[in-house]
Amino acid sequence: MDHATPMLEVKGLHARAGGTEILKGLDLVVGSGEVHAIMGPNGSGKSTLANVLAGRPSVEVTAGYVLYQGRDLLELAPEVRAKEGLFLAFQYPVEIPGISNAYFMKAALNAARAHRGEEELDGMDFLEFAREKMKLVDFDEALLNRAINEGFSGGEKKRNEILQMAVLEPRLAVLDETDSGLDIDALQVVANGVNALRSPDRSAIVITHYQRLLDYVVPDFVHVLSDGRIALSGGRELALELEAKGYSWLEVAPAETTAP
Amino acid sequence: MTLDDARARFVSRFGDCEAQLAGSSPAWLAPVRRAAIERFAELGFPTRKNEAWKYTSVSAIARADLDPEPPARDGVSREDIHALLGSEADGGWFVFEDGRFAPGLSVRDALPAGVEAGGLVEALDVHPESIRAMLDREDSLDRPFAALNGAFQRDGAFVRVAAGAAPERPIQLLFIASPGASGRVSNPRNIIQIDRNAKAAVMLRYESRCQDAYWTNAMTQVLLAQNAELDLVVVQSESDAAYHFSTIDVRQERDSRFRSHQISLGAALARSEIYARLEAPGVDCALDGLFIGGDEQHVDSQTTIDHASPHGTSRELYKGILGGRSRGVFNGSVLVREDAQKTNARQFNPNLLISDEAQINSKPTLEISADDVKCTHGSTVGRVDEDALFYLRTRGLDERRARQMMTVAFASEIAQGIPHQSLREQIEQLIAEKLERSQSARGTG
Repeated sequence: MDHATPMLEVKGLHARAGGTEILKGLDLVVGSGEVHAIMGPNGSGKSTLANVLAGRPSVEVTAGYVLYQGRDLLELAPEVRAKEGLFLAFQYPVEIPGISNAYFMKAALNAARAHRGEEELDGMDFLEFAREKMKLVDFDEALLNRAINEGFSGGEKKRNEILQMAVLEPRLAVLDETDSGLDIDALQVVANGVNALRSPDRSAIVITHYQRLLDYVVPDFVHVLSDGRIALSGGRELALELEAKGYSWLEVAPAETTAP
Repeated sequence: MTLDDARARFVSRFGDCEAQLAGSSPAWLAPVRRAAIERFAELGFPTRKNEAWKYTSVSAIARADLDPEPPARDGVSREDIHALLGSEADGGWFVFEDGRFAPGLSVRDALPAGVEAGGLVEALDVHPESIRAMLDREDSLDRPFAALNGAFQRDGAFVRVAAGAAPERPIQLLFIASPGASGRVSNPRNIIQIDRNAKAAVMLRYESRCQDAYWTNAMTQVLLAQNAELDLVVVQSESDAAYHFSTIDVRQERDSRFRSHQISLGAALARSEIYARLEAPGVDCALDGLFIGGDEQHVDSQTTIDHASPHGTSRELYKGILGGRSRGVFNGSVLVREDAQKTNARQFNPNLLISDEAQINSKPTLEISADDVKCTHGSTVGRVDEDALFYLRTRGLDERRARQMMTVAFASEIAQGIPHQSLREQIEQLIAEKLERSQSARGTG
C-alpha cells in the first residue's frame, strides 16, 4: 500500500438497519498507523458503522462509499474483508456450542495465512503461537478448549475477542464497545491488545461510550457521532470534554468538523 | 405393484423358500417362522392411513419388486472390509454378509472371558433355550416388518456378555450388503444379551458394496438383566439406492442402564424403530439419535419408551439435519403407565434444515397415566443461526466452511456421547463426510 492512501476512507455513508435509516452521511478518514476513537450517545449509529465495515448482511448501505486501503470495501464478502486484514471485535460476541475455540481460531488464522500465500500452521505450531498471544491478554488456556464463548463470563468473552485480534494481527481493528462492562484489569487487557498492534502500517477504530478506555489507548483523533454523522472531531482532549459535559450539548451545537 | 400385490408376493415366496430357510435349523423354528408369515399376511405393508406410517410411504419398496429369497452373498472381500474400516479393521470385527455371519471375513480376536460373539445360527447349538425364548416371542410380531423378519430370518449376530463381565473394548459388528444383494431382501436377526452386573458397548454398523436397490430389514432384540449396562451404537450407512428398516426391541430388568446412539446416514428410505420397555423399577434408559438426510432421502426415526414400572429415568435426544430435498420424520412417544410413579422422562427433538426444500415432521408425544412423575418433551425446527454464521465469517471463514462448521457442531452433541474414542472418531468421520456431501448438494441444487 502506498502511504498516501488512507487505511480507510468513508464518504457520505448512509445505511439502514431494521427498516430505519441510522447512518445519514457519515464521513471519516483513518490514516495508516492512526488510532481513532468514536464516541457518541446510544442510538447515534456507532454499532451500525462497525457492522457496515465488517459486512453484516442485515445492514443495508443506501448511499456513499467505503474504501479500505484504496479498494471498495462494500463489494467484499465479510470473510474476504477479514482475510484482507479487517477485524471487528464484537460488542456482543456470539456463543457457538459444539465448535472449540482452539479449532476455530486455528481455522481463522490458517484461512488468512492461505489467503496471503503463507503455509498453514499445524496444531502444535498454532498452540505455540496462541500461547504467546494468550500471555499478552492474560487468557486462561482452559477457555481455548471450550466451545466458542459458551458459558463465558462477559469479561471472558471480551478477552476472547482481543485474543482473536492478537492472533489474527489485523491491519484495521474495529472495537465495538469492547470496554463496556469491564473492570479496570480487563480494560487494561483490552488496551494491551490494541497497543501491542500499534505500528505505522496498522490502524484502529475504537468505538466507546466512555472515555475511560482512552486513558490506556491514547487515540490520535476523537470523533463524536450524533444522529448518524460525525458531529465533531478533535484530539484526545475532546474525549475529556465529553466526559465532563456529557453528550446533551451536542444536540444543539452546530456540526463543526475538523477533518484529521 | 400395489402394496397388496407385494404382500401376496412375499407370502407366496415364503412358501417357495420355506424348505431352504429351514435348512439345518432346529425343528421348533419352522412353526415360529410360519406364525410370523401368517401375522405378516394379516398386517400387510402399512399404508399411510396407519398413524405410525402417516409420513412414510413404503410404496417404493412395493414398486421395487424385491425378492425375499435370501441374497446370494458374493463379492465381499477382506480388501472391501479394510477399505471400509481402515485401521479399525484390525481391532476385531464380526462381519455379516447380507445378514449372515461371515467367519472368513471376520477378525475374531480372542474374546475376553465372559464374552460370546458371532453368528446367531452357530450360537443356537450353544444356547438353544434362551435363543428360542427370544425368537418365539409373540409381541415382536405386532409390527409388519418385524413379522416379516421373523418369517425370513436365517442368521444374524449373537452377543452375550456373562454376569459380571465388563469387556474393555467395544464389540463391533459389521453388516455389509454384497453385490449379490441386488434386488433382494436380507433379514438379519440379532440378539444381544447382557447378564447381571455386566457392562458392555456394542456397535452395529450397516454398510454396503451394492449400488442397486436392495432392502435390509433388521430386527435386533436386546435384553439387559438386573444391574446390567449397555451402550448400543447403531450406524446406518447403506448405499444411496437401499431401503433400510431396523427394529430394536429393548427389555430392561431392575436397575439396568441402557443407552443407544443411533446414527442414520444412508439409504434412499430409512426407518428405524426402537422400543424400550422399562419393565422393572430403577431402570435408566437414554436414547440418542442423529439422522441426516440429503438429496431425495427419506429418513424416519420412531421411538417408544414405555415406563411400566416405578422409579424409571429416561432421556431422549434425537437430532435431525436435513438438506437437499430430503424429508425427515421423528415420532417419539413416551408412555408412563399407572404403576410407573416417580418416573423422570425427558424427550427432545431439535432439527436443523440446511436447504429450502428439506422438510421435517416431528411429533413428540407424551402419554401419562401416573400422577407423581416429572416429564418434559418438545421439538424445534431451525436453520443455521445467522449471527453465528456472520461471526465466523468475520474471522475469515468462507460461508460454506462456516455453515459446515455450524452443522457439524449441531451434530457433535450426539457424537460426543458415543463411548470409546475409537468408535467416536470413526463415527465423527462418517458424519463429517456425510455433511460434506449434503452441503455440496445444497450448492448445486
